[in-house]
Amino acid sequence: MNEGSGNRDQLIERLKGGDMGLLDEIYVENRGAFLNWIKQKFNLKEEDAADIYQDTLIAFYENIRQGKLKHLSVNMQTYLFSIGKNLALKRHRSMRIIKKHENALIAEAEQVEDPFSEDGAERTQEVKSAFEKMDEPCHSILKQYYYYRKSMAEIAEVLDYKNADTVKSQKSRCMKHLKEMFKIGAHE
Amino acid sequence: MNDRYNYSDPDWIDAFLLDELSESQKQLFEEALQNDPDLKEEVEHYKAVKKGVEASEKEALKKRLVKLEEGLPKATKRRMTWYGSRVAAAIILLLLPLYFILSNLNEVNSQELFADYFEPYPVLANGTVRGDAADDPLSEGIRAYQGGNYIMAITKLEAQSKDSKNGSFYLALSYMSNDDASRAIPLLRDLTEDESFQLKEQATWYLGLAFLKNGEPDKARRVLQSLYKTSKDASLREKARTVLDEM
Repeated sequence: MNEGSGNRDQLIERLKGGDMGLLDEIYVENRGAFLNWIKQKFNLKEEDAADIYQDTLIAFYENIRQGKLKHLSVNMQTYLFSIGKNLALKRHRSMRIIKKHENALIAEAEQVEDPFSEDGAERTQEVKSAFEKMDEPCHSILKQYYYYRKSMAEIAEVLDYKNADTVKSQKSRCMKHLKEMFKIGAHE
Repeated sequence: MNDRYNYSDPDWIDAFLLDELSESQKQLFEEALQNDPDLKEEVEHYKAVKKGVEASEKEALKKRLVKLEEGLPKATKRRMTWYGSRVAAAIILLLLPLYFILSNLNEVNSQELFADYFEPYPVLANGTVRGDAADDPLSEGIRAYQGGNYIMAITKLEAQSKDSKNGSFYLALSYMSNDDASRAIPLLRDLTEDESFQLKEQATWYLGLAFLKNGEPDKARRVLQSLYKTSKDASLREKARTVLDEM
């Protein structure tokens, strides 16, 4: 992957647009260096290192998806290393003391959150499984809107609707439908 | 935001949740939220849906990456210390002549034969590849294979469903091109036993080469002999015979 600063911005644009194949490519490309480095640095087993690497890519994508990361001022590998280090430190804090001078690398990724830290809430899990069972078009509309953050007009185009307003009213129906599912669930 | 008073409009709620309101709009909305329990409930519902959708998609992404990881060859060799690497180098230097004497010369010969005869099977000759625009893992993988990007081809083809025989065929060839014949062998073996697979004989040929590459000349010989005896394809028979002669 050719990686100048302008190219990096293009990569971010493509990822924001939902090009998940590109994320696979980034995964494969940086994997060897990342796994070698993190295994050695934190004395991790292969599976734990791979687990952190996956979550690093997810955190990276989450930052882009939510619009927190629009421009990469360092190269991709440095950025991924800094997220990975942060995640590893969060998970292994009790096992290892952080050295102050090591923090220099973390600067750019300081806001990184463990991508799964807040998903455990009961309500989130309930809605998650209801969403996964939802029929079309609701499933796609909600996914495009809340996950890929597409506008109503963009969704209209992707899912072949007449216009943004049609999607908007369909989405409202989906939201009501979900709400009713929970009302029924609560009375049972 | 057309109607600044109708805060329970989905537009307002979503704009609030996705952080798209200006500071002053946000203030107004938060005030309304404090004073209107129905609005509060509605916002909670929207928030839960947003979080549920995000949680579901994050989990799907994690699964996707786990699967991708599973298909890749182990990434890391433990780095040796400076001292360790010197010792290892010295041992290797001492043992190297012994290795050449002891190792069967067939081994070297097998590798050379493989290098002489292995050529990735061209995609177009097959005629069953779908249009260029398709972006499912199968088409993406075959395109990567065609472009000589075998790592990417492996990544994509491993992600596709196991039902596609063409997919496993090109996956096996990508492994071989990537010097990993041992992973190619089980895939090719399945294909050679599949009467309905149109490239069955090609798969047999490549299975023979994979055994050569993998340092199993006896198995290679058996496979190539059977190809030589049974194949209806004259050029394959000829290739099998040449390799057998040279072994």
